[in-house]
Amino acid sequence: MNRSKLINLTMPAFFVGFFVWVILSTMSMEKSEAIFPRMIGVFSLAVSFFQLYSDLKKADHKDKFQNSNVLKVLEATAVLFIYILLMKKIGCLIDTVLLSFYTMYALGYRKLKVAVPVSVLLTLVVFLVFKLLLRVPLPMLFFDF
Amino acid sequence: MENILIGLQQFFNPMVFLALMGGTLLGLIVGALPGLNDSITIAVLIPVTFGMDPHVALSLLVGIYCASACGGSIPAVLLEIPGTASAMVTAWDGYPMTLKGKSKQALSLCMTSSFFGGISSALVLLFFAPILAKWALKFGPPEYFMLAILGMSTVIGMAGKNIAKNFLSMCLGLWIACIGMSPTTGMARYTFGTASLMDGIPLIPRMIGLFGIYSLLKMYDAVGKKKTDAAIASENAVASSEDRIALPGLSMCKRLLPTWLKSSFIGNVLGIIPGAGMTMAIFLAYDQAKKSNPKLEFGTGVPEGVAAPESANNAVVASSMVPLLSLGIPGNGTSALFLGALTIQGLRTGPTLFNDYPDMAYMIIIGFILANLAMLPMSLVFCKYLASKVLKLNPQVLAAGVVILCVTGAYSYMNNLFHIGVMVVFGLIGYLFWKFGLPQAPLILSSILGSMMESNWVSSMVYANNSPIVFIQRPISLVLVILSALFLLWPLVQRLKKRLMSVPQAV
Amino acid sequence: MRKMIALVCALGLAVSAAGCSGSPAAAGSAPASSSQVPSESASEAVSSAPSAAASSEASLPAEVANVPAPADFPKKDIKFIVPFAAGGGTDTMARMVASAAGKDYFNGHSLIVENMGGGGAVIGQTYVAKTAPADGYTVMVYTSSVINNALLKDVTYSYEDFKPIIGCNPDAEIIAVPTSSPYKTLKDLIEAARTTTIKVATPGHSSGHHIRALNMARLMGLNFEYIHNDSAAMQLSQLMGGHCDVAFMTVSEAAGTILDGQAVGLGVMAVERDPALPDVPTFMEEGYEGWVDGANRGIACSKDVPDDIYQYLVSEFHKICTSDAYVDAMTKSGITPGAETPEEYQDYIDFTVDGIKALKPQLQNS
Repeated sequence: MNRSKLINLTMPAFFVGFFVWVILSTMSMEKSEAIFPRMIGVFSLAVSFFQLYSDLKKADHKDKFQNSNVLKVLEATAVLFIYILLMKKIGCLIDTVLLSFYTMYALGYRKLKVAVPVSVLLTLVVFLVFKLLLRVPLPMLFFDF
Repeated sequence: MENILIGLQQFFNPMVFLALMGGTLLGLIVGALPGLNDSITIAVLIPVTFGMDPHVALSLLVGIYCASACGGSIPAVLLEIPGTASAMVTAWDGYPMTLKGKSKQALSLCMTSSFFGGISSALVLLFFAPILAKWALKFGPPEYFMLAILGMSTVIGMAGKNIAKNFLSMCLGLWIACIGMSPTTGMARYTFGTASLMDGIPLIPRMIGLFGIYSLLKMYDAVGKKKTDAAIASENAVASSEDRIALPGLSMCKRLLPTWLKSSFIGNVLGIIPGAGMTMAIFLAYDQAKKSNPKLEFGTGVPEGVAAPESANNAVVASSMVPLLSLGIPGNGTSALFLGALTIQGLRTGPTLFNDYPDMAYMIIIGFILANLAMLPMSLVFCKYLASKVLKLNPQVLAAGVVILCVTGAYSYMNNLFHIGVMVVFGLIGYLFWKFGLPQAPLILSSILGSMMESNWVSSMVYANNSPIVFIQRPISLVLVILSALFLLWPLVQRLKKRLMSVPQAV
Repeated sequence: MRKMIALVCALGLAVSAAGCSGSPAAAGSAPASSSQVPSESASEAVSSAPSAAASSEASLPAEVANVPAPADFPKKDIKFIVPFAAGGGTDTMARMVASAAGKDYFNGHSLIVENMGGGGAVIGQTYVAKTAPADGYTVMVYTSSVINNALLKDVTYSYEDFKPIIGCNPDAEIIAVPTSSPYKTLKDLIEAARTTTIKVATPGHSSGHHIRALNMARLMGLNFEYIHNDSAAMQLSQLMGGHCDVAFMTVSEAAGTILDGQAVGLGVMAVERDPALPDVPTFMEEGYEGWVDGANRGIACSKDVPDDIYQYLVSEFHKICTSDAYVDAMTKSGITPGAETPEEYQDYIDFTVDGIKALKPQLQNS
């Protein structure tokens, strides 16, 4: 069993585990509300096993994560979660400027003289549209009025 | 006829006319910005319209509603990020066209198809509203259940060669539909004690994640390894000189006419039925276009694949006003906001509106026709001078703009930080689906139809004293049963046909 | 720009109304409080005249003292939380209150409506009860969902975490049947329901209407089965299409449909007939004494708001809700205006609480 096959098998294996959990979780529900999730769970489990079986049998597996920057994707996801956590701490404006700057920088845009003003400008425009025109109560913190 | 003139007369008031035009432009813009849509804009404007003249207020809203479904397709074509939920399907063939350097042709097709669908439904609203509204009332729980099944039957024929993977994606969607309060007991399922999940996972943040964040993650995925799609699209846009914004030629119109007619029909029918919805219309229309053109490779940038969902979603717009205006039942979220706007103005919907305020009723209807007429040139100009320039921007800078719009849009859906989290999680799900070759479409469709299926199954059983025969006893339901069976069997028949055809060649 | 126009118009309305606000006529025009849930404690009184309804009747017209502003309050605009998404009935009402208030109350400060929907209103309610500072700068639209959520769902707050400020939108319950229905009167329906199963359309499980239907079935011994629709709009379409035997709605939701002849109203749970539907008899007229019930939207704040600020809020909101600007706007849109005192509104809350507590086992099993 090579590395690519192992990676490809994680997908059906995950689904098998997940839907076993779904079926188990319906045990503690009322009868009438459990019917639908249980039906889905049983059907999906069958499909997942089929997928697992056919992936096990398949000989040629391509490494799907070859030639792709998975670390960067995970980093970006983590940054988005940090963005959410920081929203309440440093307010929407600073947070968003940082996020947009990160996006440009991480994607490989290195002209700082452009990136900094652009991220400030973009944030201000969006802020103008959402906060002032659409009256969305964005958490402002320092710049509230 | 006389009433039509009364309706038309209202637009001689320059303020009313300007409001309609302004609304149409605003609709195009908010539709084109991912994270903003017609419901948010109208909801924000309703309290503002409080002090306005009712005619001005309503024509503003009509313009927004009409154009936003059209505007949503612009980013779907250019960036693979639908601006509104109604443009999800447009991206499947619109973005491949952009990758081939045919972005302007794709945009022109979107606008023309939107116009076709929009006008068709405005005419339906004008001439057949009362009759059709009565027909729509025939839909009880069994019919809604079968309608959901009909929608689900398109999963089999969806993109992706591997049916098992389609089913896996569908199953995850169905499970997502279970999150939240159970329709039978009101108890929370799979909410893990989070109040924000009590209403289930809302469509808007989910969609922003599955499209916007997903395409962003795809860009990160390529950093330092290979060229991104966005870079290819932008290069091809600069390189191709023949591509331009223009009305499609006669031969193209002739080719697309059957698709337009069929998709507009689907859109109109589903628009009239309260609660059936835009999503089902675009999926069914795309599926139908695919079935009637078996020779074309859908998903690789086929004009029909853009025309079908675009005419279907605009056909839903005006026809969704049919139950509202003739019965006082809002058929979807946006028409519920129209009801709010009319209520605030002290107007009652239903037959009374036509009797007591024909000027208002017919102004709204004529407004839909005028807004569509204005929308076509306006959207073409908009695309020519603004939207198509987006591809000339640096993709990295553009990504920064997209990410800001995505997070702010997800937040402003309910003013809740939790929904930004939902968005990120679904972006990651979209990314993993892409990596493992799982199609996204079944997930989206089944997560929308799942709760409709469950609650209408329960209601049908209460209604029919637990006998499933009810589904074939009622005429409309029976028709839907037959249609679903046909749709389900069709891909199998097709496959069989292919095998039979290929046998002689092999011999 | 448009915002400006709206503001100017609202101001104009409010200024023109200022001259005649505070007159006793305004208070008198507030309709009878429909706040009697026949609950366990009142169930014996169902056949005789219930005492609670009578007592809340007697206390009208409401008296609310004009309280001077406490020192340093308000210094800024007041947040008016709507725990639902924009565009619904509750949101419309809140916006009417805010627009009637304009800048004429609270020392020239405004009420800023903020939608905080989701979680079946739990998110907004949790915010007001637990998260927001209890300084009087946050008030909330109070609906019976506060009580439902607190008693039936896993939430962190109690319905006692709120202090009612005013009850400003009473909406009586109405029983409607499709036009094709064999039941022509309330009596027909109730007699039939004693022997056969009647299918009741509700706008959702454990909604106020579902609870009132359960309550009716429990106290009268009726056989109801429930078809839960996802929204009031779907419920209405099912009623008009004849896909249920009967629907429980409020008068303002059903009035248009009934007036257009698309459905038939059998009975209103109110003390007297509703002015919007003069042809629909009340339960009492039909011989079912004590059946006064319905939705009743109000305004509340956290229970920890200091008393002087609370009294000031009560007095200001009373002025707003008796102003002509408010009464006119509401009446024009077919919504019933009202101005109940906190005590009267507390009565409504208490009765609803008793009703839900009595039904709790049934609600969690049906």
